[in-house]
Amino acid sequence: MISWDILGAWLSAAMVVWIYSFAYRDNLFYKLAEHMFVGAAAGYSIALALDSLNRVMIKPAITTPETFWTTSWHYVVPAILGVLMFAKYSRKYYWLARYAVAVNIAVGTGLALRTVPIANITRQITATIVPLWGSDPVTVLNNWLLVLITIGALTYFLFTIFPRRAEGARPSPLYYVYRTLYYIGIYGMMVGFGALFANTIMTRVGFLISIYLIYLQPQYWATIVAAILAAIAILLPLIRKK
Amino acid sequence: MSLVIRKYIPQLIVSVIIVLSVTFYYIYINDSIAKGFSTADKALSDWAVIVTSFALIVGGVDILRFHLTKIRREGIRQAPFSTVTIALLIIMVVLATIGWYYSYADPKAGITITTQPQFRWLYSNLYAPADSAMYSILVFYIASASYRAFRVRNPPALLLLVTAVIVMLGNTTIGGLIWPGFLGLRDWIMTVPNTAAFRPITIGAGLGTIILGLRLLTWREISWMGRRD
Repeated sequence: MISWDILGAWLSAAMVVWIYSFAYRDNLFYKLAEHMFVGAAAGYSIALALDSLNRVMIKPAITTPETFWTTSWHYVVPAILGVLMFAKYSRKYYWLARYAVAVNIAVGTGLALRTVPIANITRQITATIVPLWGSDPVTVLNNWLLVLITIGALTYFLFTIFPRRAEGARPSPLYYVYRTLYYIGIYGMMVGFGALFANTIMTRVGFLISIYLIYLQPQYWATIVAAILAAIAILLPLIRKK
Repeated sequence: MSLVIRKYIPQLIVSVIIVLSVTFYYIYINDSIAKGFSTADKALSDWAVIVTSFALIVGGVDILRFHLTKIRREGIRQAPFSTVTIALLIIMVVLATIGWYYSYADPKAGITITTQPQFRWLYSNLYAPADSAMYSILVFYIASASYRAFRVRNPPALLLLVTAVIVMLGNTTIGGLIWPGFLGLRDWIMTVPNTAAFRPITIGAGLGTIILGLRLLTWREISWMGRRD
């Protein structure tokens, strides 16, 4: 007797194998899996949107109507704006959708302008102001590296003001300082990018292993059947071409 | 319609909300104004959630329209695939709506939009594995990218390779078996040079965000309005 669990496991394994088959070549089963994924993802997004609407607006309006119509009546405005977003399909009234987008853009930008100056700029600068002298040589060395690499990388991104070397003339001391910091910045960023790249590889490989353990290994027959189907879908067009 | 309601009023809405939102966050006048701002701020966040929800629904309708047009244009070659997409989209939405209905009709059953059993089955057995596979398929491309990135052409490239190898060995158990110091070295790389190298990039991204905000505020950034009038 085939249960829904087994059917689900077969479907999972088939989806994974068919999507991975694209790594070799585009094929019929990859296209099928891709279209299934897009349909499910779009449906899932709409379901999440309905869930949000339900939580924020519809449920309070149905379960506690008195409170809703006295304190939260203004939620009708974004709901109307949201409906107006469908006006984008009209050639004549497409501009009505802009009102809803304007609210979203403004709220997002307002939030960003409140948090970014502190989180991205002030805190980063204060975190770089560290003691450069002290009793512990390891901490002192680390602090020097931290400051020099930060200033160096900032120097690397300084495109507007930098000391130039005049033709034939001896470079100024400021020029040497700038060049030194510039190279420290490059080397520091190379270390950062190396670490970032290594972490990216590790994350993807970790994902691959977990996918194998969760979806492919438990129903290995499903994996084998899906792989054979994908192989046929890849090979058939090649044989036909020959 | 005049340019004012088509273009200038939406831009004015953006500017007014940004100015009020930032001003009252930084400037304290008195308790009642601060409280009023806090309430209005929460309401505006909810407004954004409601509008975003509608935007997601519009996105779903876009996909539906796109595939219907594709079927009409490309015919039988594309029809099976687009039909699968449309069918799954509709099935997911219908199942979510059934869950929604039961959340009111029979609240004790504990069924909601996202916990409807068939919806969950499709999510767990179709969407989740496909999503993970789509994300991890990049590992195959990263393999070839690594070959190109890790070729030692100059001293900075050597540094990139050495750092990546140390971090990878520090992240795995085999690294600890080869030399226990890899773990400490990886931690040092992540806390000192890595933090320092990404700090200016974070500062740059922050400055970029502020500049984008100022451009929106001063009506210089108008790409969000879509087609030109």
